[in-house]
Amino acid sequence: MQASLHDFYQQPLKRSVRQGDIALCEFHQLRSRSGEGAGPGPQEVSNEDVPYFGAYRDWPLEIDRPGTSDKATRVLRVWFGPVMVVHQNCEIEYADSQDARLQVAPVVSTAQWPAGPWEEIRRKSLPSFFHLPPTTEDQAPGLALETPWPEAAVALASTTCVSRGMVKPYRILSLSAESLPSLQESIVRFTTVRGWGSQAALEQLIGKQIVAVKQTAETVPGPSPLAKVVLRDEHGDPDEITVVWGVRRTGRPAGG
Amino acid sequence: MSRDAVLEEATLKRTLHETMPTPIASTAWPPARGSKLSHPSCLETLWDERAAWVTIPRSWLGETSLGRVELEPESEAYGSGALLFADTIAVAVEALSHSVVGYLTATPRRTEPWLSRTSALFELAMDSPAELARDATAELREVGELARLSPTELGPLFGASRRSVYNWLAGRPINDAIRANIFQARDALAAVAATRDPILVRTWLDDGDPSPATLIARADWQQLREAVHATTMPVRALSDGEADGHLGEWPDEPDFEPIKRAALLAFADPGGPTSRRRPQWQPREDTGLGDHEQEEDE
Repeated sequence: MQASLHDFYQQPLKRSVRQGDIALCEFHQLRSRSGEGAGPGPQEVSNEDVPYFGAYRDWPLEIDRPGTSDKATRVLRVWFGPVMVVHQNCEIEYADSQDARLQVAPVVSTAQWPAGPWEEIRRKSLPSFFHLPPTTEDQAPGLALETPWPEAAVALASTTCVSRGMVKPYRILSLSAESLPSLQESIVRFTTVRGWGSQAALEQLIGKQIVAVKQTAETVPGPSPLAKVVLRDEHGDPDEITVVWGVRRTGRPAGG
Repeated sequence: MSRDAVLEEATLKRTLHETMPTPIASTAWPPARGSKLSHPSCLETLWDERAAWVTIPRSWLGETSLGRVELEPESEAYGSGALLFADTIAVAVEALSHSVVGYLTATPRRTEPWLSRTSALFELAMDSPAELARDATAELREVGELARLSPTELGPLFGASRRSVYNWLAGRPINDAIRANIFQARDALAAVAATRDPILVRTWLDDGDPSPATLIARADWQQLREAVHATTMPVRALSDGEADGHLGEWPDEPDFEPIKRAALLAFADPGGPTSRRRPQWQPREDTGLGDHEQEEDE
C-alpha cells in the first residue's frame, strides 16, 4: 500500500546515505561509439519506452585492451540531474571503508518526458519505473525545497554505479520509511518478478521445452506461491515465466 | 621550435618582405564567386599579386577527389616555413590544373604583424561539387536547431538583422560570403551537437573568451575548428599520480544552492520539442498492479 502523499518524502538523513535518497549529481552510461541505438539521450529518440533525462554530453574515451595495442573507442554519456539511491541499505552500511560504490537510478520528470507512459507509471503497471508523486507548494518548505517537487519516476533500467562522494553531500530529498518498501518492491519486480505478459508474449512460448519448474517465495493474493517455469527453445536459449500455479505442500498438484 | 625552423621562418619573413611590395587590390582579388579560374591565370594571379598566402584545408582536398595530393597536418597552419609557402602554392596549382572544381572564393583571414607589407592572409576555399549542392537555407535552419537559437539569436552570428534571417529562412537569396559562413558554422556545430544535447551546444557556443559564437561572427574558422576539436577530442586517461588528486568530487566546493536551483528548474520545466505518444503503443509487460488496485478501490 502506498503511503499517503504527506509522508511519502522526507528530508535526507544528514548522517548517512540510504536507499531512497534523491541527489542531484552526474550519472552516466558507457556506450560503444556507434552501431547501436542512440538513446537514451537525444530528445528526438525518446518515446514511451525510452526516457529523456535532459541535457547530456558525450565524452569519447580511448580504452586500452589486453592483448592488443589497438585502443577501443568508447563514449561516456553524462547527464546531470536527480538520481535515486537504489543500493541496498545493508550493502551501504556494512561496506568496506574504502568501497565508494553506490548504485543509483536516474529520475525522469513528466515535464521533461511528456511522451512517457505516465498513466501506466502512476498505476505501477510498468516494472521498469517507480513512480514519484509531486509535492504541493505548501509541502515544499517542509522538505527544504524552494519549489515543489514535480511528478517523476525512477528509471530502474538506467541504474548505474557512481561514487558515494558524488551523492552524499548533494542529496535533496528522501523517501520516508513508510514509502521505502514500495521502492524495494519495485526493484524486486524489475529484476525478478516482472509482470504479466501480453497474449503475444505468451504465444512466443509455444514450442519451447520446459526444463525446470521451481517454487518461489513470491505469492499472489491467496495461499498459493508462484512457480517459475524455466524454458529452453530449440537453439538452447533459456527463458522463464512465473506462473500462478498452486502447489500443495504435500507435492500433489492442486486440483489434481 | 628548432634552430633550423627559426632560421627558416626568419628567412621566409625576410623573403616575404622583399617580394610582397603592395597590398592586394580588392578589385583583383578575391575573384568573384563563379568566375572560373584556369590554371595559368590563377598561377599568374598568385605569383603576380604575391600578397595572398594561400592554403587549402586538407578536408576540402578530400572532398575534391584529389586524393593524390597529400598535405601534412601542419601544412594547414600558417607561418610554419618557406617550404609550406611553396608547397601550398604548388598544391593550389595542382588542384586547379585538374579542373575538378574551378570555382574559388577567397576570404580574408587575419593580418600577421610580421607581414606588415601584406594586407592579409587569404584562405582559398574550393567549392567542391558537394559544396555547390549545399542548401544554405536548410543549413541555416539546422544551425538554429542544433543550438536552439531563434532567428533573433542567429542574426548576430552572421552579422545580420532578425529581418534578414527571417528572409533567408523564407528562401530569399543569401549572398556568397554569408552562405560560406553558414556552411562553416553548421559543420562546426554539427560536430559539437553529435556529442551533446542542444542545450549544451548552446552553452558551448557562448562559453569562453572569445566564445565560439564570437569566432563565428568574426569568421575565424581556424580558431573555431580548434575550439571544436578541443571540446570533442577523446578524454585523456589520468596517470596514477594524477588520479589521486582528482578523486575529490567538486574539489573547489562551489556553492550547491545555485546548482540545485538550476537543476530542479530544468527538471520541472518542459524542454524543447519532444516526441508525441504513439496511439498504438502498448506496454510489453504489465505488473497487473494497476488493475488489482482498481479492483480494490471498487
